Amino acid sequence: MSHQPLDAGQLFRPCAVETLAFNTTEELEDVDIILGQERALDAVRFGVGIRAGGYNIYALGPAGTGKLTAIKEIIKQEAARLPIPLDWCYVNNFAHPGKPKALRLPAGYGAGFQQDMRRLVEDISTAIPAAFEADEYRSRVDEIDDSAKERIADALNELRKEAESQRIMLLETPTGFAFAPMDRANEALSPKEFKELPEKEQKRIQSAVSELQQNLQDILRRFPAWRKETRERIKELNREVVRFSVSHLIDELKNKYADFKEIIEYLDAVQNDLVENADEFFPGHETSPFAGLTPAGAGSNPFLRYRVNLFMDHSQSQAAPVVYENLPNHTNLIGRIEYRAHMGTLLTDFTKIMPGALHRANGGYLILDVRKILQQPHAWESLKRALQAGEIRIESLEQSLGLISTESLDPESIPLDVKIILVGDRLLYYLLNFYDPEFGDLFKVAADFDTLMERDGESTLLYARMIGSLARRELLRPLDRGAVARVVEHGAREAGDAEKLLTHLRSITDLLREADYWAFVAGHPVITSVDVQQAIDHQIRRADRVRERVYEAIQKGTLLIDTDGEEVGQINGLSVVQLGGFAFGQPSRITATTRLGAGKVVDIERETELGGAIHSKGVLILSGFIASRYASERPFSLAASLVFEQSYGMVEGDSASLAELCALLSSLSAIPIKQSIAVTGSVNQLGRVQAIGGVNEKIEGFFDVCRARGLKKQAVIIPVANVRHLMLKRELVEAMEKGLFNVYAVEAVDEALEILTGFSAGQRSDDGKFPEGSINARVEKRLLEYAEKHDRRKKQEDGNSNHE
Amino acid sequence: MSELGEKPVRILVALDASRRSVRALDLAAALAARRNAELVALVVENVNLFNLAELPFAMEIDCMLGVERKVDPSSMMHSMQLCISHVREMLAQLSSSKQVQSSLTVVRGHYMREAISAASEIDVLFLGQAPYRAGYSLKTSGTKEEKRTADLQMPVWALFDGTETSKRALTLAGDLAHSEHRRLMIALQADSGKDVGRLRREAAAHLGDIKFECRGITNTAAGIADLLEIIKREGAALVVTDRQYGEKADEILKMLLEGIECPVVVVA
Repeated sequence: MSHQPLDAGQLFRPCAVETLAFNTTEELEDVDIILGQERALDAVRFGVGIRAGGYNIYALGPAGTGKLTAIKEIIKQEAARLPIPLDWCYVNNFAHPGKPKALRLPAGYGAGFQQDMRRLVEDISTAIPAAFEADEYRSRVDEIDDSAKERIADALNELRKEAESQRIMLLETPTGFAFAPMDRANEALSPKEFKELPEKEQKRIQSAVSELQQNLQDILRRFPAWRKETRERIKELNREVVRFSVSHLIDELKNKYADFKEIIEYLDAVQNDLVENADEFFPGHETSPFAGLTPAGAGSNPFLRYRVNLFMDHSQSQAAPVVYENLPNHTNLIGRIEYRAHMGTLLTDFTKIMPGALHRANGGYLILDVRKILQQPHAWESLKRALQAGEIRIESLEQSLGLISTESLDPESIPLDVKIILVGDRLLYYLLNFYDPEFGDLFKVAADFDTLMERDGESTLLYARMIGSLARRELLRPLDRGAVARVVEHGAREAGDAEKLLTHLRSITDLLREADYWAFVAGHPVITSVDVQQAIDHQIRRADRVRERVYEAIQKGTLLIDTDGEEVGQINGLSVVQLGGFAFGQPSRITATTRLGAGKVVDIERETELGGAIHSKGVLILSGFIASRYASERPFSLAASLVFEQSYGMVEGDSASLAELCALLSSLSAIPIKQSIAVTGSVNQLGRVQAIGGVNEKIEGFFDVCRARGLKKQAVIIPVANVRHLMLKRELVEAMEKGLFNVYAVEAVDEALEILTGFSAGQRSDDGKFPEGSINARVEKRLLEYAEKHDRRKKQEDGNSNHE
Repeated sequence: MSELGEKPVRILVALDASRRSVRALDLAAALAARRNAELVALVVENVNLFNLAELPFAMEIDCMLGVERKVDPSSMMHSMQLCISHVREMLAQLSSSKQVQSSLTVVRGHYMREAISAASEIDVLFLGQAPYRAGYSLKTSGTKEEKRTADLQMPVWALFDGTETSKRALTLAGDLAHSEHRRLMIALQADSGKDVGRLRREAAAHLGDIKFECRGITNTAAGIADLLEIIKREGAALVVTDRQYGEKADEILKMLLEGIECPVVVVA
């Protein structure tokens, strides 16, 4: 029954300084700062390399693991191999001004085209007015105008002559024309003179006037058509003038861009528009007062609609784009249409179409933080829609949601060829996989970043090089090998495993920065192990306010924790409190009471809804263990209660199930438990002790409480499976070396019971009985008594029932 | 008409009620203001229209809509009164804005006859009869500014035959051209080429520093017809002449008025 505590050497695996073959990290070559992520990096390389649709990447892992840094590094190399994407320009769509056209050009051509169009506009804005101001033009207009005037005058004069031939005159009234018979002096006949005429003459005159009136009406009815005809002739003249003025300028550009069909078509459209709207280019042309209110918004200058919106310009690009969008909302992703306020209205035109991150990354890579995009309304849907459609369509969120129906621009969509890299935590990856059926189709590559790497000689050296690289990158002092060793040890401790190293880049960088600060304070030219330890101590110190209060409460007896003496049904359990990035162990008193009952162990935490599901499961498992070991062939007539004393928050996890079982068995056997020992570990139904988390914090938590009261060979029992995780603090190791504190590792509940009570647990012999006086025998005996009592009571109740 | 000096005492603007020329009224008011003269407006109601209105079959064809409309004396009277009230309003505005003393007289008769008759005691007569509607410009091109510029390029014409009255007309034409910032064109009414040279020199001597251009025409009614052709080509903002035509004055002035689209100014 002799149980030996662990050796001090098993509590902490140091990084031997002598194995580090350098003096300071200055001597170490740079290494990729992302260590131990081969699986994730291979996935990223695969995802980046494959151009097939849907092979976008989700880089999952905790924040601060260096995912983004690694991805950017890989993408940067890959982008250098890709062609530089096309330039894109938005131009006016003359047929449908509300639907601007997108023109594509090879990288670097867009700016030139924009400049060429600007020059063209400058040229035509002087050439056209100059042509209209020329005397030749005025003469031709006057010719048309005079000819029209003459046509009308001739028609009226002819009618006037015809009338006069019948002695009738054409008079102009204030609002029109009229015919009146003439006297000999060529004046209108007075009514008296008319009456004196022979009746036949009167009738002739009336008839002639009637006919002339009819003719005049016919002529007047033709006037609008003649005027229209004249206007058309002048318009055609204007078209000819504009065509002549601009054709050679546009032809020059067409020759220059002969290889680009879209540009040629656009230039033809420009020429047609110039010709068709020639009237607008008269010097000082008066536009409609509503001209500025049109969707095209060209305002009073008709030449503005020939501008070019250089939407995507890659003239300065050396590689395919790599874009990280820090605020991935709907607008920042797919672009936007800006407006300007004018007299209480909002105006826009094709020059106000602005690119989004998808445009900027088109032909390259776009990195997005998945949490950020999911937090932005409809941004996720917009991203998926663009990826599924293979094109970027710019529309406002209000339009996408159908919230507004006012007319706006509907720019032509631009084809999308981009690789999206989402960076986020694992939970979101699994949730998206589960709840979004489109996610799997669009993000086929998962790059799973770990925070741990194996710890061995080779990896320790790599780790040292990474530390050196980080120090150089952050412009910190070099670390001497003692400091590196301490960082390695701390990395193992943070990993919670003596055989692993933490690769959480942010934590390591923070530690190095803080150690550098303490080196500065101490005046050290290099960072030493003392500086690293000071950085660790201060990190803990800054975060341990709650721990201090808890330990103070234990010390003052507010929280009841015994560290000596013996008690039946009472044991010290250990739990871990996680507060932000800091965790500490807290001893908790667990008590158990037992009595005759119906085979139920009451978990008070669960009954009060303060226990989590895993904790409840642990209690049910130990209940099953007791029943199967001690009452397999008789009724399990036990009623027991388990409680975490003075616990006012949620209790979760099964790491206390060993302690709870021991407390129960102590209660049943009436054998007291040593209060100088704390227990952690979970048990299965067969009584085997299983590994738990946070073992270092738990041991240290009990150690700190005991040290404050005075170390008297107190101990902690842990599962054997957790021994490899031990990276305990120096003071604890020293106390153990002095025999003032112990750690026991157990594989089965019986071992724990023996250590806790000093009694033998007892093994069932061939006759099926436990040795007399052993813990198991006492427990079995007690349960037998309960079962017999239960039987008697049942028979008594049955007899009473029959008698009635 | 009295002698025309630097400050004519009376200026008459004769307007046809149904074809009134706003421009003639403007010009006359501006001249009256510069010369501190009284402005008399004579509105002539065309008697032929009243005779027409009393005929039993009198009809009017609306010039805009081309529809027939019955005409009777009362409707004609109403139309005329509207025209006259319009002239009265314009005159009141001009008198107020230009600080000019003015009066308005309405007569019924024949426009030219009434205008010449009323001008017997007048120094300057502005004939303001708008052109027939059939002659309205159809130009559809050009802005308001462009049209204003084009209008300013129209010159002031003066008819000059060397007589004293034509010298007064030349003086007034020079004054009007200067005040309106227009070119001065002189139609030299000569019987021969030799006379043209002489008249040019006389005009130059009379005008002093004022720049002008000349065109030669014969001193006959045919010469007036030639002038109309020239004006048609070169444009005119105003034509200034004297009353040198004797009995044919009415006819020649009528020719001028109906042949051009601008007011005619007759100097006594």
